[in-house]
Formats: sequence, C-alpha cells, structure tokens
Amino acid sequence: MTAGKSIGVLSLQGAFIEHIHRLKQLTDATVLQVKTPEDLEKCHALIIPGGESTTISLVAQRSGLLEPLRAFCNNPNKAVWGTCAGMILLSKEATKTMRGGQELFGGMDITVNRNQYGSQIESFQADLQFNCLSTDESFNAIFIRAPILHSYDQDKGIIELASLIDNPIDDKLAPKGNVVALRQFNKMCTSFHPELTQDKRLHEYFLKEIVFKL
Amino acid sequence: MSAENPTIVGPAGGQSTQKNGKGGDGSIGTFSVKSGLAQMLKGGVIMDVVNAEQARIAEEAGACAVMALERVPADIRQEGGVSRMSDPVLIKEIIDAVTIPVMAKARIGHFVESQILQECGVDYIDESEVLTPADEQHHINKHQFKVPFVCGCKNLGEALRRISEGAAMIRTKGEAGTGNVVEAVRHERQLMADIRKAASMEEEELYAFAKDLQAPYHLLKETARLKRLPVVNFAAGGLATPADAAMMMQLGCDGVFVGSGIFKSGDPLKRAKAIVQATTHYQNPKILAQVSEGLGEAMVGLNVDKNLKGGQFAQRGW
Repeated sequence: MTAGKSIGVLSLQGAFIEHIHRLKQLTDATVLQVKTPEDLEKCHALIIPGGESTTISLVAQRSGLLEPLRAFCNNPNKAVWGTCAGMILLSKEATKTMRGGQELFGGMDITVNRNQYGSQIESFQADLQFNCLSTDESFNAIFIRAPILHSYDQDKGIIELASLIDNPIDDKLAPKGNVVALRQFNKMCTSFHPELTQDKRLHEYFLKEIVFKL
Repeated sequence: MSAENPTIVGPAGGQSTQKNGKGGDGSIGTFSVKSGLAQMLKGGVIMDVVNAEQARIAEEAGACAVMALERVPADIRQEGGVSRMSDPVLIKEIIDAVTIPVMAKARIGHFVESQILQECGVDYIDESEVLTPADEQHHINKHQFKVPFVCGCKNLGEALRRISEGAAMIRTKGEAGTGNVVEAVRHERQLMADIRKAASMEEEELYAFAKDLQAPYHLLKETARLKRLPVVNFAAGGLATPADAAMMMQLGCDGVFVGSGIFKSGDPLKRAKAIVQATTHYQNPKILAQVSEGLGEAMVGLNVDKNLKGGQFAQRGW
C-alpha cells in the first residue's frame, strides 16, 4: 500500500503493540507509538486501542494529551479508529463510567454503555457479516468486557458496518445495541478487537478506505 | 527491549471454539477471550486492595485492574497464620465500587475457592503463592473454568507448567510484602534468559531443554518461535516505587502488579498515580524523574534472607 502517511497508535495502556504489528504487515507508511503531544503532531491517522478506558483517559490527562487528542479526534481531516475502549473514548457520551465521570475524546456522534455485556465470564466470540471488506467471509470477532452502542444521531452521516444477529440486551436499555461497527466519515469504531485475531481485513479497510483517501 | 508481537494462541496451539451468532456456550470463556483480557491490561498497573474505598483510590489513580484480597502481603507476613480467599461480601463491594476489572486471589490448588470466586463474578483469579497453599502437589485445573487465571512463576519451566494447566496470564513472583524488588528482578531476568536460550536452540536441543525445564515441549516450541511467553507476562512481588515499575518494564514484562507498596506508603493516591505514569512512560527518564519527586514515605522494606518474617512465598508452587 502507498506510503507517505503517518499512522499513530495511542500507546498509553492496552493492546497497542498488536495494532502496530498488524499495520506494519500491511503498509510501508510510518507507524508510530503515540505517548506524548509531540508524537501526536506527526500523525495523519490514529488508532485508539483496547485497554481500560479509564486508565487511558487518566494517563492522557496527566501526560498533557487530553486536549490534543480531543482536537485530533474532532478534526474532520484526521482519520481515527477506536477499538473497544477506543470506541468509548471516541463517543460523545458514555454511561456507567467511574464515579466522578470519565473524560472522553469525542469525535463520533454516538452514545455507548460501558461494559454493558457484563463481566469477563460473559465475554465471547461471534461471527459477523460485513459488506465492505475485501471478501465476503464472516469475521470472527472477540468481545471482551465490551462497550455496547446505545444510540447514534441519525442525521450525522453515520453508517452501520456490522451487527450481531440479536440485540444482546433489552431494546429499551440500548435500542441500537446490536450494532458493533460504525463509520462516520473519517472516523470508525468497533466494540470488538480485530487486533486479537489473524483476520487483517478491517485494518485493510481502515487504511484503504479512510487513511489513504485523506 | 520488550519482546514483540505475541500472537497469542491457546495451549493446544489453535484458535478456540467458534460459533455463529452471539455468545452461545461454545464461544464464551474460550482461551482467546481469556488471554485477550490480559492483553487489554498490558502497559498497566494492577493494584492490591482490601476494600471498596481502596479500590476507588486505585481506579482514580489509573489502575487497569484491582486485586481483591483479605490482607495485603506485608500484613500477611506480620500477622502470620493461614491466609485464604477474601470474604465474598468484600469482593462484591469492590466489584460494585469500580468499573475496571476486579481480580481476586485463591489459594494454590484450592479449586473450590476458585468456583466461589467465579460465581461472585470476578474478572480474573490469581492462584497465588501469597495465600497459604491448599495443595502441595497439584495446581488448579484452570481449563475447567470460564473465568481466566493468572499464576506466578520464577522461571520458564514454571510458567509453561501453569500455562499447560490453563493459566491465561503469567506474573513473575518476586517476593510479595517486602517492598524489595530484588526477587522480582531475579525472576524476570531468569525468565527472559530462559526464553532467549530457547529461541536460539535447534529442535533437538529444545526436546532436551523441555525435559530440563519440566515443561511441555509444544509450549516451549511456541515460546521459542514467538521469542516471548505465549501469554501476557506481568512483574510482581516487591515493587514499591515508580522506578521499580519502570525497571521491570525495561526488563521486558508487559505490565506490573503493585501490592503492599501503595497502601502501606505515606501517600497512597500520589504514589499510585506516579507508578501508573511510570509504567506508561517507562522509557522516558524525564517523565520518570518528574513523577518520582516528593512521593512521601515508601513502605518499609525488608531484606530477603533466612530471617524474613513469614518466609519466602516464592518457594510455594510446584
């Protein structure tokens, strides 16, 4: 794939190495760990990995990265993809956060419920059907203490990329609870972890359809 | 220096069960799901807490998980007696108090304590040498649980034996409750040296090395191929300062446990925050210097020798 773009992976806490390795398999573009505001300035695109969203948010705050990240995620000319914790941080509103609330980055007009699927023993794998990937085979997705989509703004250009067959929780609690992958222009989120499986197609999609079209 | 890319697979070497649709029984508690949570904890600090108030302080400090236990290791040393799993009431209070994952300790070999902890809804169980062992020959058969397990090790052989029993995460043991990092360093260096040795061996040599290590050959071969443990590896046992945490990260672990070091210090919140920052920015001496300033009193450290009160916990486990 074409080079010339710098893609950062937010590397404060969580599964960032997995994303970095996957990106390096797929592109000659510069791939870098983002731990400071100076690192972020070099990036055209950013992946916010899975991890603990409260930890990532608190460490970002204490590392002087919170406002730069907010500006980056809300800049329409930057590409951002959040997986699991990254989806929470990309949302404009999240419920069930720690006491005293949690700072979010924003960037997508979505509302999520944190850890709605329950604790670790309710974590699961499921096959998903996408229409936008390079092949039609199903995508085996790993959900770990995953956030669930509550709802999204209908008129903001958001498209649904993949859904579970049923809504795993009550429609009243989360009317859009079965939607697990979304895109809003140059921003994208998945409530599962494509970086934990061998399937490269979602990373390819992010690079080809978003990052290299910036 | 941290070894790269764990493409983590189950002990059988394959991706686990898959099923169509959401969460049928076949797709819950797979090894990918169990080891996957450990991957989400990487680069983070897991803190020992004995009640909901401490758990909230740990969360506010930026802990990526908390470990619920009855007494912190420093108190177990001082008070002696048999140490067991926490009261389920305390564990439930801790689960209700925080949004981050909650781990809890069970005694080595005590599979019923583990059944109870799974029922309480903990996110991870630590089959821990810090508690008094319940079985001096057998560890828990961890494959039989939906909840994942973390286990301690002093070297590669011990780590691979635990993974073979189903552990989805490993921590080096160090010497808990001492505030002395020397044993944690010893075990991490031993583990890394064993891995480097395995990675340079020919297949014939690996068979012989597996015998020496008393480790299953297929797991040793996988370790040699990956040039790292096939599951996430944290450091533990005696870490008390931001510098200790960053040192363990530079030696190649994926994250750290801090036990007595936080709540036995003069200013737990400030120290906990500093250790979290140090674990993220472990390669940045400028930030390490900043966060190490003015932390107040560290926990009292103990020398690890034959007079160590409570004995060496790291010798427990087989």
